[in-house]
Amino acid sequence: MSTNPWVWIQAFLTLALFSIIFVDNGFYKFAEHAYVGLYAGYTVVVTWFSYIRPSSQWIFRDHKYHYIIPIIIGLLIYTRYIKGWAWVSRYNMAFMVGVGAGFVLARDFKSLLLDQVRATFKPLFVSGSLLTTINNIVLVVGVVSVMWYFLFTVEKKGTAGTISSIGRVVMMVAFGSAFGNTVMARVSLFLGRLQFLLGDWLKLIQ
Amino acid sequence: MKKELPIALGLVAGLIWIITTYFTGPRWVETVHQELSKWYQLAGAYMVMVGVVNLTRVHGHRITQKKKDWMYSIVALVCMFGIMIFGIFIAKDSNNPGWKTFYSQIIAPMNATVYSTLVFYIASAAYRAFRIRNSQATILLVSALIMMLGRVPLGAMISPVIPQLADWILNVPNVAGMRGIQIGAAFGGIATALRVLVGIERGYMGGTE
Repeated sequence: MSTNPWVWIQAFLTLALFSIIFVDNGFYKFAEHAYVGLYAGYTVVVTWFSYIRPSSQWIFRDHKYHYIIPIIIGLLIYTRYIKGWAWVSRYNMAFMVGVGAGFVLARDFKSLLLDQVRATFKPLFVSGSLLTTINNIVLVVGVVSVMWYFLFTVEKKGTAGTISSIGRVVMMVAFGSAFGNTVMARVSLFLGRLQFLLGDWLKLIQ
Repeated sequence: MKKELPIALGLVAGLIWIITTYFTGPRWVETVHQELSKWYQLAGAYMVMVGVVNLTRVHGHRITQKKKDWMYSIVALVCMFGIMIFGIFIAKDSNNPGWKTFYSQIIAPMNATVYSTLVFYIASAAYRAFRIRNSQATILLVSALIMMLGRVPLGAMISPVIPQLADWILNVPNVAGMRGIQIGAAFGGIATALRVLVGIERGYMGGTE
């Protein structure tokens, strides 16, 4: 067994978090609340190191006084806790949502729409390569049928219904693929924790 | 004026972002874009304490009202404020060895454990999907099974075709399905962004005050 106190703390927290698999219990609740608290505190400290502390240097050392404006905009969110002044926090939300909307219209428009449409324009017959031809047909038919499935202004009957069904099948294959990959990633993490418990903590495996 | 001015601020900020993204060339345009990006990050950073305030209010209420499991709320608050005090006043820097140890020995392993616990919920979800027994649920499960087998040596031992099939599913039907959804979501996002910018969508402003 390990003699490192950090390993023992980790082992306790790991076992406490895993104990929810059997039944909800006090150890799990302790670890769960500790995790929430620690992660919230960790996020605040990382933000402090990355932005809040450097911002004072940008203003007072580098004399970039215009950074006071976003700081004020950021701080306006706390007016929502003051009765009668809650509406002032709208300036903060409007700024954040406005820039976010601008980001969607400027960047996402290209990467999530134009680039994706452009990448779907594939030749449906590639001379000398049957596999590429099949792949391209599956890709184009798949994308169009999935988009068709989400078109709710057309009644899905006859041919329209068939295309919609193809879209559902393509989505099921895609969801299965995403599901399989997620399971493998989680199993990998689980094996990592088992390796820690059996190796680093109990020293039963190398 | 309590709504119109914030909408105007959002519109101006959004338009500046769009204009400085599409119209590049002059140095000052690039500078404006970079500064607006920094403003956005800075304003967001100063909002981080909203989470702390809300967590303190929720758990503080549970403690003062002695609600069920209130003692665990003390654990949450002690951990949160404890780590904030440690990080800001004692460690003082992200390169501090104590801070690095805290991350590598507590935060990272707890993250891995919490996410690995999901494997059991996923197994339970797969079982429920299997019980539905219709063609589409079967397609989903067969696709997932091929994907999982294709990623481990057992799949190649059963048949060398399985890893190739897994790659094909990942690169062709998966891309088709996800791309179709992504294009649809992009249309939805663009429509919502336009509604926000011109002030039709005001849900983010909250109440009617």
